[in-house]
This record gives sequence, C-alpha cells and structure tokens, in this order.
Amino acid sequence: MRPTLVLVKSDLRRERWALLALAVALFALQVLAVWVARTLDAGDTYRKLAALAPDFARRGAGFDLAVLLSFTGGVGIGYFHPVVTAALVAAAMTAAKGPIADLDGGGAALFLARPVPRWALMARSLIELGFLAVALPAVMLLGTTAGLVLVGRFATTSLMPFARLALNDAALVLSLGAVAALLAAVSTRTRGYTRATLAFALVSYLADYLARVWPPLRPLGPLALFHYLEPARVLGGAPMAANLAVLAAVTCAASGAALYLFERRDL
Amino acid sequence: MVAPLECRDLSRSYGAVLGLEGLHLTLAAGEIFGLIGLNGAGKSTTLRLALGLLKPTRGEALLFGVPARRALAARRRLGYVPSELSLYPDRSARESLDLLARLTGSTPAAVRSSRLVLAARLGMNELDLDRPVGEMSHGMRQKVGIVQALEHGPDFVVLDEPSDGLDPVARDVLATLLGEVRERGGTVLLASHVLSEIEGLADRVGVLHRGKLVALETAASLRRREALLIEASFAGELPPLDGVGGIEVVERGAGRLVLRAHPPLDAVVKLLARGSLQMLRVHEPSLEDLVREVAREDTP
Repeated sequence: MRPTLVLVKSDLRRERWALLALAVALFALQVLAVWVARTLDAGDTYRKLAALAPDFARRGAGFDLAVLLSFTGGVGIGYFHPVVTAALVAAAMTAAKGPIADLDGGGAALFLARPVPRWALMARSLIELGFLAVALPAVMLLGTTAGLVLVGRFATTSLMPFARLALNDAALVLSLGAVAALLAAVSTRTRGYTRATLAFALVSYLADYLARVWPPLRPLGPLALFHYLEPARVLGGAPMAANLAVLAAVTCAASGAALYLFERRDL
Repeated sequence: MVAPLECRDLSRSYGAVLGLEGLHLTLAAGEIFGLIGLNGAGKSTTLRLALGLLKPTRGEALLFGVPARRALAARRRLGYVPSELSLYPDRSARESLDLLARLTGSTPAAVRSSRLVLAARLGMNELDLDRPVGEMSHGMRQKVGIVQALEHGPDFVVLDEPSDGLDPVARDVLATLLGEVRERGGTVLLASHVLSEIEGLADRVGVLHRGKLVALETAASLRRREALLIEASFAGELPPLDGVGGIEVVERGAGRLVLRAHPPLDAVVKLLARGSLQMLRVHEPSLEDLVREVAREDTP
C-alpha cells in the first residue's frame, strides 16, 4: 500500500494549485447561487415564474418544475448547472488518467522498475478519484452554507436537500471517474483516452437530456449515467437509494475491471 | 548464486510480427552484458520483458530467480535507465528523484550523499537538480536518468541506449560507473545500436537480428568476424595480389586499391608494402555491416 500512498501524495502535491482553484471556483459558485436565489426570492420572481409556466412545459421538463422554481431550487442549481457538472467531470477525468499519463510519459517503466506493484498505478487514481468525489461536493456544501449565512437565511433553510444533492453528485463523479479509469486501463495514448472519455461523458449527458425531453428516446435514459442524477426529485425529498445503488454498482464494476485489465495488459 | 536475469526460451510476438524469438540467456553476477542490434531488432522488447512490462508469448524472464512480472522484492535491487527520461516535465529533477527514491522504499535523505556524488561526477551541481526536467537538454535529462538508476546502489542495472545525447566526458564517467557496478559484483545489461559504446565495456555481447539472438560472444571476437575494408593508394604500379588468400578485391583503379579482408591484417599489409604505398586506410565495419555479416553466417 505504501507505494500507492506515495504516488497519491505526489500527485496531490503536483496538482494542488489546480485543485485549490477548482475548489475556490465551486465554493464561489455556490455562494453566488445562494445570493441570486435570495434576490429572486425577495422579488417574488419564483412564484411569478411558476405561475407563468404552462402545463406542457412542466410535463416536458420531465420533473416537478415547482420544486426548481423556489428558493431551494435556485440554490440547488449550483449542484447540477452544466458548468458545475463539466467541472466535476473534468476533475474525475483528470484523476482517472494517471496510469495512461504515466504510460505515455515514460513514468510507468521507471515506477515499475522499482518495488511498485502494477495495480498501485491504477489504485492511486481510484483513491484520488474518491478523494475528489468527496472533497469537491463537500466544498460546494460549504459554499452553500457560507452563502446562506451571508444572506441571513441559514437559520430558516434546511441544508438536507443540498447535502442529498451533493451526495448524488459525489456518486455520479465516482461512477464517471471509474468508467474513465476503465478507459485509461485499456488506452494506449493519453490523447485517445481523453477523446474516449469526453465522448462517453458527452453522449451520456445528451442521451439523458434527450430521453427526458423526447418520449421516443425515453428507453435510452437508464443507459446514461446522468439519468441517475435527478436534482428536482432529490430536492423534493424523493428517495434516492435506487439511483445511488446503480451509480455505486457502476463504480464497483468499472473500478474492478480497470484494476483487472491494467494488471494484465502490456505496458 | 541466483542469476540477476535468466531468459528461458523468451519469446514475444505482436500479432503476426515477431518481437523476440526463443531467447536463452543467463547473465552472471559481476558481468557487463551488451545487447546490440539495429532498430527493431528486439532490444527494447527484451528489456521490457526483463522488467516485466510485457507479457511473454512463450518462455519466461526470471529476475533474481522470480518471474519478472512478479519479482516485486527483486526490483529493489534493480536500476533502470530509459532511453529518454520524460518523467513530469514540470517538476524539478530533485522532486522526481525524491519520488523515485521513496518508491524504491528508501528516503531522499538516505540517498542524498550518493545522489550528490553521482551528479557531481556527471558534471551536474545542486542547482541543476532544481531545474524542471522539461527545461533540461536531452543530455542533462539522461544524466538525471543515470542518477536515479544508480543512487540506491542496485545489484542489477539495465540501460537502454544510455549514451544518447551524453557528451564524451559524461560517456566516460558512465563507463566508469558501470565498471564500478561490476567491481562490486553487480551486473549490467546495456542495450545499444552503437557497437563502440559497448565493445570497450562489455564482457559479452549478444547480437539481436529480427528478434533472434544471432551471436553471443566477446566484443573483440565479434569484431573479428567482420571483414575490414582496406583502402590503399600507390605511386606507380599496383602490387600483385597473389599468394594471400581470403582477400576480396572491391575496387582496382589507377594507383588505388580497395580490398576486403578479415583480421589479422599482417599478411595483407606485407602484400601491399610490395608496391610503393602512399596511403593506407582501414575502415571499421558499421554495426549494420556487422549484424548483416553475423546474420548471414548464422543462416543455414
């Protein structure tokens, strides 16, 4: 385990400024989301918007629009806004690319010429992925808390819906990262890995979106990982265990396959 | 005593392409072994199999008696110099060396003195070690590669084209360092496509050609297998070439003679001295000529 931890420490040290910048940006976005939500709520904008939305728009959106058109919904947007989602996906991809980057850059041969087990190169990426999946949503939750304190709504707003959303985000990041790690385990070049992972994330995102808004494509929805991030339902208090179970199963299966394949491949 | 490296029928194919075929080779402790061959001959495949990076399609490579892919503890006794060090270009050489020292199971403090001595012998100072690897010249990176491979005092050193980009002084230092590894009972496996890099250093040389080991002998005996090209010019008549066998006339012109002959050359020189010899030049065979010659001799 020691070589794995040495590699983890080294990677985190090398990427510390990028990680810090990402954490600060996500924290600031949550503060901003709270501030915007408070401003809209103070002007009664949410209630007016909800009243304006026609029935077909509510049905077409595929979820309860009323939940989103509220102060809680406005704050919660910070957890599934495309910019935030893209940042989380990018972080997961970066964490998962370790083995292929080592292989491409020549580091793998140097590492493995030492008493470093082959699986350690992949395991360190999975550990880093786990760290990011916990740390980044936690930072977002901290940003929400700070925002609520700043606008004076901390005492009257429950943090539970946002904690549930953060948990859903973490599970999604883990599953996406695990699939990325699987792609890293079988790739021969970093460029190929990046293309394949981006394509996977984009197709998954679009497939989920199209399945939600276009009924003929609805059967495709469950095949996309983003299908299991349901912000409106989570904010509305609906059970999320089934979604978490699917994401956890994908994470376990993809991580296991990544470790297995990387152990057996040529380097 | 367990051999640092033993290859038993070691073979590797890439689809239909043969990378290495049936290599039987045992390296002894206290030996420098040179592996030469043209590009694509199978040198890198052999090294990668020895390091456990590739899976053999047949046979096995044993590192200190353990199959290379499972020889975790044995790798503590290994030093590896890649053909080009390209580890984390944004990181300083010292940080990279520290990371590699920790992965060896040591600490930067434990190898500090040997690191500084090695760096100084290779012409680097402490400030050089603080430069990012990506900003270093190829030769400087190669020196860092040598330091990381030797600073923990390995018993078995594997080098892949180590002198590419090294200045002549650093090449001499590298030769001395490898000699020191041999003196303390260590073993060196040196792969190169430059025969001169190996011949003054290696105890034995293996010639790889199209994935097969076609010769295994001392560098000097390998040299003797290849005919030399002798160019001579004369004032006046060319000497008669009768009475000495094993000479091939390549070119015969006005006052100029080009011959091919195997060493020793004393009989040839005596023959040429019968004429009014103005100039005599002996050309060393290139590695390509040598490998071709060896491969031709070994083909039934």
